[in-house]
Amino acid sequence: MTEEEKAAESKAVKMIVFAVGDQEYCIPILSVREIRGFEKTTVLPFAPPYVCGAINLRGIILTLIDLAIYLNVPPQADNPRRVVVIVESTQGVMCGLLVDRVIDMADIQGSDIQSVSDDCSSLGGLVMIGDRMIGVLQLESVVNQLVEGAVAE
Amino acid sequence: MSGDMGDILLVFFQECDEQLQELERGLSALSDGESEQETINAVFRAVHSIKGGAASFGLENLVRFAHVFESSLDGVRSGRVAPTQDIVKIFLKAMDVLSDLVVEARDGGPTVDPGRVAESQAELEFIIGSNGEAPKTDDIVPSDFVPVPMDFVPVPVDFEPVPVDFGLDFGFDAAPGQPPAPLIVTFCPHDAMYARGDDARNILIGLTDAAVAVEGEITVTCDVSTLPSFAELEPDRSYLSWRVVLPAEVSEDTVQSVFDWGGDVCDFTISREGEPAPDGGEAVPAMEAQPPGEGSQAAAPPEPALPAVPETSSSSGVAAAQVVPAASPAVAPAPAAGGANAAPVRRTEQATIRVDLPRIDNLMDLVGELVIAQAALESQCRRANASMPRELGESIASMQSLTRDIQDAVMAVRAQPVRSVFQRMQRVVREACSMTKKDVVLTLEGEDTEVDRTLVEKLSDPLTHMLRNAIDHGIEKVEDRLAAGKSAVGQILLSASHRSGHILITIKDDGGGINRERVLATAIKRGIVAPDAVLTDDEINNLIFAPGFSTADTVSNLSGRGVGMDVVKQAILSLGGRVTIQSVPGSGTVFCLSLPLTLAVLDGMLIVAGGATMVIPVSSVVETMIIKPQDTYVLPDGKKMVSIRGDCIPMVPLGSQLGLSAYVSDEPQNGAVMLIVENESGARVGLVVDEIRDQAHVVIKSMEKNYRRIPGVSAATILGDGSVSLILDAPALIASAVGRINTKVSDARAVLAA
Amino acid sequence: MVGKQAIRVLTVDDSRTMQGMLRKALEGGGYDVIQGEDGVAGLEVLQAANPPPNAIITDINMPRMDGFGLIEAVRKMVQFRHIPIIVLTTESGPEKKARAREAGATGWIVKPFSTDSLVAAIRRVTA
Repeated sequence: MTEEEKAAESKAVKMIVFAVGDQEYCIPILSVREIRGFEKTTVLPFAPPYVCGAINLRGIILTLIDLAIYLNVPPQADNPRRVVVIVESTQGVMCGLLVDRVIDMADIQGSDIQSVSDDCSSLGGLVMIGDRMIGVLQLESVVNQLVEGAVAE
Repeated sequence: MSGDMGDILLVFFQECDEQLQELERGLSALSDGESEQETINAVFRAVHSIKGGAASFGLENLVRFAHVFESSLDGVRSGRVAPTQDIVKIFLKAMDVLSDLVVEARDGGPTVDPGRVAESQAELEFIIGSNGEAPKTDDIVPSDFVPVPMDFVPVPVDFEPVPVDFGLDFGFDAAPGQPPAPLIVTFCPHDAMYARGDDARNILIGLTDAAVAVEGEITVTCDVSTLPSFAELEPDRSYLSWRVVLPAEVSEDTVQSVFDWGGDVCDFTISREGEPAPDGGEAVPAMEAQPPGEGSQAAAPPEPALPAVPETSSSSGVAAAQVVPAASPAVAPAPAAGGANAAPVRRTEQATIRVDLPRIDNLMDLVGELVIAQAALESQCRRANASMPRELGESIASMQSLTRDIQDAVMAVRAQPVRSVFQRMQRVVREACSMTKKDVVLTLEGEDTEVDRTLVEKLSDPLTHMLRNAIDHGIEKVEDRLAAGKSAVGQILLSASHRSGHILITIKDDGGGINRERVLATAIKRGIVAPDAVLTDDEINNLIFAPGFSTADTVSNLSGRGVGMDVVKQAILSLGGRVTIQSVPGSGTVFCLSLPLTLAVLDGMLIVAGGATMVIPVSSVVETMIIKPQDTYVLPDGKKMVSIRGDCIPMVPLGSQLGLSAYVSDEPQNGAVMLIVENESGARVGLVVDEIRDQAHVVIKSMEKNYRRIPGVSAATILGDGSVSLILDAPALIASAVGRINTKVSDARAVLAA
Repeated sequence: MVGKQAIRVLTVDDSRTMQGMLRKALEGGGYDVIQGEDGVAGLEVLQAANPPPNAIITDINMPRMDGFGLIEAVRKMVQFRHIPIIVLTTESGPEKKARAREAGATGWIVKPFSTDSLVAAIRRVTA
């Protein structure tokens, strides 16, 4: 564990909590740029199934990830109010996360995060808020997969 | 290295590039027979500046060479050496060496061949030597100079006076034995010292510093005996003389250096207490107006003193306050003197400012947004109210034209003349000439033609290869030229001009023209064309661009530097340009490059395929046509071919090619549109699309910044309705359709997305 | 004579590298630096400067107006003729010195200069 991670563990991080299907996930609020409604995307050739397509965010072109497909969670049926959480990775890569609903915010202690099996790299662990169980999404690994994904030539 | 110093080093290398350009320009002018003194000065200054900066950073190789170069240029500057063609050639060669040494200093990369440096240096020394002045290459960097003060230490308390002059003008030896006695310094400033902005006080500071350095102090006595009565006092004149006693540890040399600047405008003596002062006495003012002090004799100043004639005109009134300036006149400029003597100086040159590139790029991005936003506004207004009020329509129209003007203006800011890259070609030609033993003059035209700066940089490689090719294969050997009745010196014209939104670059040589029989024979031998093919002259000319046409055994040492003309054509195409050849046997060849003015926007064709609106660069499209079912043919594997005036080319349904299958009707409908696209090797493919919607200037946006590379797509753009649209990579589509691996695709994409 | 305000130095040099080094050295020494890129610009900056500089450092070889021209022009201006002017020179030959003196330079600094020698020179004429 790096120094940074140790420090993170002892400090509370403000997280934004959202729902995908009937599960809840969270990411650090500092990585969120904005939250906007779902809009029509431009379909991209040879994109992985979880990429809905590209949108224009004030001149920046970024892609939307359908988290339900990405996380293999059944989405809420016929939800007309799905929202897009625009996030930026530490490397400055931006993308949109399509989620069913933003729930609230929570201060989460690093030490409260219980790790899950290693084979699920996009999920950093689970945390309990009251009786709710919330997945901590590893944004960096999601973004890396988006940018570095093998391209079928 | 501290960031600050690193920044200055960066500026230095930037400046070196500019100075080298200046040098190139000046030397070219000299080579064309110009002999303006200002040109010679500029050339000298360029080398001088590089040397000066290099010395500050302790870049020894660079300094040493620049010094010799500068010395030889000084011969021309001072008129001792005439800038003949031979001499200018030596300078041009030296410039190339200098330029390589700069690169070496900057990148630390491949070291410049010392033999080459020595050879050029010897030639330069010959120029200097021929008029009897040997260059001194030692002492360019003073031995006690510490290059690059990395971190500044504020004036140290135990300040040790650094001799401000490294020259050794004075014959003083260091004190031979123990410093036996306190040092006595007397000095008496002339009027001229004050006229030069200097002051007795400054000397006293210098002497104080010398004493402080040995942890001592000075005792100062001021002789006011020559001070006239107040009424007779002239404020600009010097009336005081000084006697200073310094600690014994201070050496004569140190004191001597204090008088280095002003020694000629003041009388001074240095002696040890108890010894007679040099010439047996203490300072005596040289001016008659000042009676000798203490019956001593004047000491001879180390350098011939200027005749101490009081030259300053005395001012009319004598103000009481001006008694003081005799001691410290320098600090207080006369308030509001009106600047009567100060002739106003007007700038004749256009003022320029330097702007960081990212700022301009940012501006460019914002303008792109503005274009999109304004298009969106227009379409929304139309949608909201089909019968738009006339005023609203007019406002939108005027905003549209303003937006376009802003876009043009920003493009103009980014535009740069092609001069820099054109001038670099002189060197390319020189080197190619020396390798092929041919004599060729490169003439430049239209160097001021401006294109987007991103494009300027990308022109260098293709032009280099084309010029090498022209010299290697175009220009004949001297004997052949003479036999053909041409002058021995070959001519190549490199010109640039604007032509309907494009830049047209031509490379015209007066060589032998393309030998079409040989080209065809070679192409057949290499299997590029069928042995029985019947080709037009134009088609044969274009064979030189075919991949695999030039191979190791046909290219000479020169043009065989790993690149064939196919790479040139690929590079031009990837910039969204085209290249054409005209060649007349016996009288020469002309290559014409037509390029877009920018890589930030692109002339695109809006098409619809697989339900998506996409953009294809107009430059990739050879022609468009409606598909007639009778012209198509289905191969056994299901692929379709289409016949176009007898040529069979593969048909590629764009939608399914890109995997946008949801909307694809695999059968091209009667009436579907086909775009014929071509790649650098002339391979053609018919892209089947549903519809051609429009043509538009689109702003190129990278897809890879927030996503990844998409096969067949070079970049993206934002359309008027705010939606994202993909820009197609035609060469990549062709490559995957014809099954040939196109290794250059990624470059093309990078260029387009840049 | 000198108040709390920083001592102001005008540097005139056509090389941005040299200007950068002068600025770094002088600002590091607590001086307030104003700059001009050649003799003509130097004069303009000098005349426009408020407060006026306490000293000038100038290169010799510059386009439009060289260092000698600058010094001669400054020495002719009533309000500036006593300002100390130090020239930057690459050579320390007596010829260059004589020329600088003749033009009215207060002193000179040989390039390449060290920060210490530069600051010492400026301190000597402005302290």
